[in-house]
Amino acid sequence: MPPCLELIEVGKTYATREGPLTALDPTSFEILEGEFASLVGPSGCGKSTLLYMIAGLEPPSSGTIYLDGRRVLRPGRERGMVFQEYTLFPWLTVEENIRFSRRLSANRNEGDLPFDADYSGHLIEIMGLAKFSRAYPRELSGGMKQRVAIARALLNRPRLLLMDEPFGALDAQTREEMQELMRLLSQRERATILFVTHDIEESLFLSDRILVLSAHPGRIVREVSVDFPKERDLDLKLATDFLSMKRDLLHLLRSNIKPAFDPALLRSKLSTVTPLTS
Amino acid sequence: MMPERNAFAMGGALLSRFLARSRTAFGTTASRSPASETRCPDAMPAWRAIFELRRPIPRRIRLLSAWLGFGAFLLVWSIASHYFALKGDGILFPSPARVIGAAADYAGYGPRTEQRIAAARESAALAGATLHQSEAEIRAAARADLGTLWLDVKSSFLRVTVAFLLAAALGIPAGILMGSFRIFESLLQPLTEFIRYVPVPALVPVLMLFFGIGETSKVMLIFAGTFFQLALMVAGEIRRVPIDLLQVCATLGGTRLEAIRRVLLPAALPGIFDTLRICNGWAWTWVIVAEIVAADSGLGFRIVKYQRFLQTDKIFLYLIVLGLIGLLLDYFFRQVNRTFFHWTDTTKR
Repeated sequence: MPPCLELIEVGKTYATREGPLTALDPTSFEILEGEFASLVGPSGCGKSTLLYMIAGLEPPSSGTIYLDGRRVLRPGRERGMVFQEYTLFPWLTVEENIRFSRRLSANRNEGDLPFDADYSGHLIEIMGLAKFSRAYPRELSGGMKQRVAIARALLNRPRLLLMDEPFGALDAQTREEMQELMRLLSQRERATILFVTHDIEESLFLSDRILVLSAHPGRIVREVSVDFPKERDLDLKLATDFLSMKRDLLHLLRSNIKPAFDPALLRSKLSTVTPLTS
Repeated sequence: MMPERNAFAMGGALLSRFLARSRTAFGTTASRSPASETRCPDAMPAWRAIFELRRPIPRRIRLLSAWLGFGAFLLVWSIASHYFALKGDGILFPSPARVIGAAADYAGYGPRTEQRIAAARESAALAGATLHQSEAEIRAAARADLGTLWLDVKSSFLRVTVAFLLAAALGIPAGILMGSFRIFESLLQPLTEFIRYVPVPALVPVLMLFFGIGETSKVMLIFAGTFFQLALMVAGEIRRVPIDLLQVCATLGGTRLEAIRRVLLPAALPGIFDTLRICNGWAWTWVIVAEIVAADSGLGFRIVKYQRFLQTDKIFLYLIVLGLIGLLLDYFFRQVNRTFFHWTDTTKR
């Protein structure tokens, strides 16, 4: 399959008062068409920065990004994005939010886009939003808000869907529900997806391929192919090989994180303090 | 949808727990049974619940305290007017009753009108002739004051509205520019901040030199008093729109102009409308300043005129009218806001 997205030596350096700070070491990778890829890493590893650069919302300090062989310089409708925060337009109903891109001139008069009402109706239905199409965002739960945001991005039929920890703010049950939905969606809508998360389990469940990043500065430390069957359900998370992969990746991540405290030191300090419960 | 139902159930449980707590907290001692006492041993007495930080209070107590505030105000007013009356300066500080009397005069049935009628009757009886001026004529003359009041309200309202619309027509675009583009922010904002701190009354002399003492100078004064504030506040509202919304628009293919028109403007509109409400209030302050300086009609002009004739009861009446106009306009703006921007999360404002 041809690469949909191609990154060549893409790095990010911020100018600070103490001098330049490298957030992301020059990084190269490809995302294939129809692939579900995840960027996993601890906070501060530059995975979100990487995503924002691919979206064109932030310029890279070095290197180039190509989408279908064309250089990425600015945001564009062929790269849809779902953000971590709830980013629905509060003055629009669910349906109006999903169809927002139709109001934009870039998407008008485009014969090649299946912009018929059918597709938005289809998205509303498969996202389970039919009953709420006239509701305003403030009336929705967190999970529903993110479903609307995903549908809004999908209506544009993006070549690549970028997702920046989209389920980070959701509770555990809703999160799993959304993961299952996302896996189904990626199969049915044949979307190419680049998914950023710090949750290894989530990335294992969702992805075909995982890129593991380390922090300070961010760089790819391992690339993992996830060869579970295409059709997955939540029970997969309890399978032995799933758990062993999860264990490996967790250990890999831990070995790359500088611990915030030294457990041995903490234990010895605490032993000199009278426990609260005595 | 399971999670939604869970969320609702949780919200319901929270609500009923809160209600149960507030019931004990606000229940009267008589209605509180020993059983409920054991069920909720940490119930606090009602008077303490009222003084808890930010805790809602029962509607009855809320209404009662609002009336109490007004009552206290009337009491202080009465005491002050009595004090002035004892000094022999009763004319300078009218009692509430006299202000009500002045209002009745505007309807043609106040004490001043009755006095005039009685005086006319007396002189007619002395002269042994018919009334020089019929009773109806005297009442009509008293009612003419109401016409004056109406004229004053109209001319003040017109000045405020023309200046306010002008300030909004220029200030909203200026604010949008300042809030949307950093270059316009650095170009205009420091200048605007500076001008904003020039006290508006200090502009009166130059405005009168520039525009004469006609309507233009008054409108310009109100404009100068509101435009700069309005532009800065609109810029602030635009800046308060989360950057994420702009990024969403960009990733959906929106251009810069579309981001302003389709995202920044609708997102900031409730805030901009609230800014208009506040600036309209300021415009009413400046119209009074303008009319006190030079005018031949208007609420501010009339107040100065009544000052000259020591008709303080009428001054107070005009003050009350000004307050009522302010309340009405405020209510109007709020209602419009509520009607058009029902999508805003009112709990967060």
